Amino acid sequence: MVTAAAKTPEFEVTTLREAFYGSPDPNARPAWRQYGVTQDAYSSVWCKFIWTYNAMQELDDAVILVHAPLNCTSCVRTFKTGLYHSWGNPFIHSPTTNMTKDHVIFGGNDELLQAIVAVDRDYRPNLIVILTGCAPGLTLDDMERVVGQAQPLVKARLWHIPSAGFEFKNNGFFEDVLPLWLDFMEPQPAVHKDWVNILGNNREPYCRARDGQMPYGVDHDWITDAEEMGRLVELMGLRVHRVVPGDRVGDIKDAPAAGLNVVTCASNGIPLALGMEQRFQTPYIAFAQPLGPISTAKWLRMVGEATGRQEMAERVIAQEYEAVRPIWEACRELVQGKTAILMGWANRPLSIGRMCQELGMDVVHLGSRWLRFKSQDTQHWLSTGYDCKYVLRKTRDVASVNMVGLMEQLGLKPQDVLYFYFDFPPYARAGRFDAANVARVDTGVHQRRFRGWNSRGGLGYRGAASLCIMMMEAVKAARRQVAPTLHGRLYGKSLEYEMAQ
Amino acid sequence: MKITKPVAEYADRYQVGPLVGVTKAVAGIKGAFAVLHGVDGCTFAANQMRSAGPVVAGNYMPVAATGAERSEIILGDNEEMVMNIVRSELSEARTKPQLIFVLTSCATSIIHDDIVRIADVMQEETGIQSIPVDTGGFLGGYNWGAEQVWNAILSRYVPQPATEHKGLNLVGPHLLGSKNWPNDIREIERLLQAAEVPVNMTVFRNVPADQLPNMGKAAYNYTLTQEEFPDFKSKCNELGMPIWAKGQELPLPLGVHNTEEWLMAIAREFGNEEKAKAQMTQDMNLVKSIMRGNYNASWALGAMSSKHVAIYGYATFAASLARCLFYDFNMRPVLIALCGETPESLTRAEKLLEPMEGLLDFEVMENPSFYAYGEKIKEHQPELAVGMLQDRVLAEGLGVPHRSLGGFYFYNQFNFVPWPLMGIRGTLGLTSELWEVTDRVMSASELWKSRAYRNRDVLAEVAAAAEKAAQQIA
Repeated sequence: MVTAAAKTPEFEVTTLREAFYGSPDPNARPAWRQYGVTQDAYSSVWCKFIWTYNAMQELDDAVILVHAPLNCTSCVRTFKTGLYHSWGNPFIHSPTTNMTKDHVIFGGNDELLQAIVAVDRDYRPNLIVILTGCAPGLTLDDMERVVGQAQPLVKARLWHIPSAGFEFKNNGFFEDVLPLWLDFMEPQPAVHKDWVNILGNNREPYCRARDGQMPYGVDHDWITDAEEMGRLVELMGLRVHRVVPGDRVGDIKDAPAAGLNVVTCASNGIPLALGMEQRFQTPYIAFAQPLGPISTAKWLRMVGEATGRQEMAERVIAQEYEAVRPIWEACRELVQGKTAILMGWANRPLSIGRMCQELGMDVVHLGSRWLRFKSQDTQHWLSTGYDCKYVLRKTRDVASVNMVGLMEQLGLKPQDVLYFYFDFPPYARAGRFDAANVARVDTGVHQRRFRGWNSRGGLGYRGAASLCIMMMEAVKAARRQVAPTLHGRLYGKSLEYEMAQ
Repeated sequence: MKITKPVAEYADRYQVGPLVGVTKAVAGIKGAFAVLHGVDGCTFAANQMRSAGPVVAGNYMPVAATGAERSEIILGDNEEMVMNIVRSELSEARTKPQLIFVLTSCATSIIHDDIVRIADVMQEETGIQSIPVDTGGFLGGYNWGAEQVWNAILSRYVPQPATEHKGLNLVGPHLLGSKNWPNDIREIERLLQAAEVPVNMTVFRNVPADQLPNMGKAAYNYTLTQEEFPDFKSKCNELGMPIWAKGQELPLPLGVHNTEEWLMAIAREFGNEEKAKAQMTQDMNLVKSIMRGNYNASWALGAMSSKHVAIYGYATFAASLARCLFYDFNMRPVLIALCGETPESLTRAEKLLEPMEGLLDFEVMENPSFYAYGEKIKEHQPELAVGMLQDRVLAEGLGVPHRSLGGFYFYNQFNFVPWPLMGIRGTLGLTSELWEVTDRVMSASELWKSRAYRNRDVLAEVAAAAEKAAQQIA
């Protein structure tokens, strides 16, 4: 559905396709300065250092040595310790050279060499990833030379990634950093046609047994997207080989032994898939994050086609759909014709948006002009034929959106809407836009947990069913129209007698 | 006590830099606005840190981040860009700020973007006091950052010594080292008021910008951390309001024993000892009214007793906490990791622990890496660990239940009850927090899971699966 772009003081309504191709390159700073200038809290995000660290911290058996002041790792630990470890990532050891102004003035090459040797001596890791902060990136400490000097002195493999924070291209994580995982991989003597890699895993542990072994020795309570995809792969009679990012360095090496790649998160997975295709000729299923019966059936058929298991695919489709059909049909009856307003752009919101279209809903993404930040991701989605209404905001932050104003502008009443927020926090104004009167589906990528179902986002038939259950619960909860949530009362009218006035 | 020094070649501890330190300090001034001229990652951390504890302490300070990136760092000459951002922010502000701080990160500091000129031009244009502070991460830690704010305020607002001096400035509430510092500082203020200790200002908590000149009217500055602040010290001496040296020898008022020592020392010097005793008695009576004769409280205190504890925290807080756990709760703090920016903070904290020597075998680590701390946890085998958010995954990953009591508020303090951990009343909070982790120590929840009831049909399936697996292995 296409609507004519209509400029308003706050929201501009267009389509995902128009917004993407009309947005400035994420690195075109002069164009960006007219947006996103005057907000607080989320006006800044991450630098190259944090993004690179983010990518590397999925390695269980590596130490990340940081040539920078203590501030850099501490900034990472401020935010990511609470947020990123809750899914099961272990503690990451990150010794630093603790650069001071002496190192900035006189250089820190010697100290870095000493630190590398000491870290190898004390931590005894398989791999030392060496990152840099802004300071040595400017003073040009000779990282390559120092690493070259250090390698013969240590047992660990050394891997330097230039990561000065200011070096950040605003899509650099996905296009420059993620593909670094490819450097862990080596060509393999044999490629197994029924082995499948799952690419795009983000923070979630993969705990399904492989070859009878539990990867981490234990199971966990929250089914991840990668695990659900792994279950579908196994139902097809295939074997899950590697999950990237996520496996250990030594394991990732033989990822090219798999005959096929499948992708969960397009943001993290498509760059890897493209890279493996180019470097190792590993084909991939160009359909990320399948969610909902139609999308998942399409994905299964593509997998069947790629592996010569077309009949198996049809059996799995029938069996899996039958298991969730009552939930799916009940949800469709309840929500079709309503409008899904999804906060955010790129992989997860787009996958849920597509699922909502399967349910017969109108879909509106509340995004920003920041689409090119995840350009490979968004281009992938557009290439699958997905498009929807897209609302541009003046700023690039994820919070402080006037949802009441948006609903009014779109001509929607509260009972017409299901609101899916993704990043934190949800918008809540008691009396006007609250889970008490507008169905709020808790799709927060950080906080969603749903025992027995996919927790983080949603994938496949079971992922769709889990979302359907939450959607139906949200619609029912919003029928009450009274007794708003505490969260809503914090930001809106606090007491019901006030709302009645 | 055994003291373990850190390795010289690397450091791995939680110590944010001066950009965060300045931002948090300035966030205590009502009417202040901070311009974070730096690279996104650093400004992101500063953004977040002033959006939690300082808000609970009373003020949500607006900030603007410039997000300087590659071409701007390479080419420099970013002053106009920064000023345009400030102008834009001011034009949209509902309330005009009364004070602007212009700050840097490593990159913008190294390339010498002229924040002095930015501040001068902004002040001339807007009439708003504008103060530049160079806050590159390599220049120091967050304590050092806070020191720059205090010095800057004194330089700008207290150009000469006051004619009269009275009372104490309580300096650095967010440097207390407690995750609950917004409530703890209120308790400290309350106790001092009760003991008739005149408090001139809390530097800074909720101080209106137009009252900043009053900072110079104190007789003494009591820094709420044992870090050494040489420049602030010399400034204070010049202005006739020295840092109170005795204050740097006192523990923080964590628990009953520490609070009594702390409050009596301050009251003796500045207030009324009898009033101090009266308030402590009243507070103790409150604690007794809740806990005395309370089966649950007796159970909790009994459960905590004799438990071996590993502590990770900022030096003064960690040492004070170790004393509290030992004296008040009869726990055994066998491993105490002290983090400090200056060697004086470590020495002073170790002095606080000296009375425990001979009463307990314990090891002190100075600025350990997380790895070294973890290795010592394995060696000492504590039943529980008390630290901050940042060592939680480490401790729990080693199988040791962990509770955050220290660190910063952000992402760390999820107890929204406005109640202190400090002071005698704070023992109610402390007991509750310590019980949470002690309960986990005591509860073999993994066995609850693995031994949960299964009916005979499920048991038969489990047995069949086990047999099949065994056959496969065979």
